[in-house]
Amino acid sequence: MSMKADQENFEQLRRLLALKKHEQPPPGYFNDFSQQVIMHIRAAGPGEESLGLETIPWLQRFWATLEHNPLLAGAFGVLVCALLLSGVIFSERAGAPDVNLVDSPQDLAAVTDVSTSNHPLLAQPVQTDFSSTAGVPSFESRGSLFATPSHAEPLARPVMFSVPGDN
Amino acid sequence: MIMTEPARGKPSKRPEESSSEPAPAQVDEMVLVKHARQGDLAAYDQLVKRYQERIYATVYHMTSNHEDANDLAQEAFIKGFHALKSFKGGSSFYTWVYRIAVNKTINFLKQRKNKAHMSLDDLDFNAEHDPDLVALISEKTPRRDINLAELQQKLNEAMQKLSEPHRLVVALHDVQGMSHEEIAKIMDCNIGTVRSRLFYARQQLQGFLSDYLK
Repeated sequence: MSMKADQENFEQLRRLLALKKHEQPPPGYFNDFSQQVIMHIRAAGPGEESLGLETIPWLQRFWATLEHNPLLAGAFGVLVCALLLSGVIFSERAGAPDVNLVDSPQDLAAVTDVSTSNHPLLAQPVQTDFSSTAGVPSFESRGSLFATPSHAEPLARPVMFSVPGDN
Repeated sequence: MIMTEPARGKPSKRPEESSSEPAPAQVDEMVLVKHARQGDLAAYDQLVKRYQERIYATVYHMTSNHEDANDLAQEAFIKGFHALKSFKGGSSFYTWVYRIAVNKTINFLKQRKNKAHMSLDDLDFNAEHDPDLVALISEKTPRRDINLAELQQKLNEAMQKLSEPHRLVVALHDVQGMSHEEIAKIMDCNIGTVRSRLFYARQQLQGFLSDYLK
């Protein structure tokens, strides 16, 4: 079929389609159309600004495809979840310190050569009930940093104030 | 506030017709866009008034429903205002806002797939005196008892059977009289695609409306 024959065939259709030009909204419809648009913009306020993503054609096409193809949307969801999971697992593996330098406590003792149960500080019971009125133990008089503090002789000393000219 | 001559119903100058100097209508549009971008609603009001009829008509011919066309055309302009900051000026504001309206309409139609309800706009008074239509009904149409309203209904049913891109091409070219170049810009495709879609859509329509065509 030639192009001219096509054009002639479409002439009837073109005349029929002309009918659609006469489909008009109610009279006066456009009088306040723009005012309604402005009213909606004012009502929405300045906070509802768009990022302009809706004008990106490929993003719109992608989104529309997902909306109308549940299988594809599901596959995309699974892919996103898999990526997220693998990201979490990878970050945990990469970020965690390697604590298993020795395999057992025996190995640890052999390495450090320290017997923790024989240490004098660890052998004593830990005092947890301190009185607020008891003196603060001082470590100044002790010869060693690890010497046992004596509760019977609090080493707190009273402070003497002397105001000049108060005789 | 910007005061410009209202250009309702008057098509703006096409980009391919422009010379090195921008046409006054284009200058006005650029100024209006600049002010609207700064939040000047009066300027945006002028832009809406300038294109409201064409945007509405396109959406209406796509949906064949007055209420839907009203909502979608308004939403397109509202979205256009909020997205003005992303408007780079690569195309005219007219093409840009058209694209927003068309994309919104296509998305809406995909969601409305199963809704068969149509609320057509009434034909205006001039339809009865359109020589093309008078000739079509009184001489050419095999079913001479058909009235305009029924023909309108059948025509819209046939339009709704087309896919969205094919319907859009017919609405923009055969109903609204846009050029292939303008349609290509709006649909973000090349002119060859527009032509082939138009040809296919017309063939489809001829098949659907064979009872009403010679």
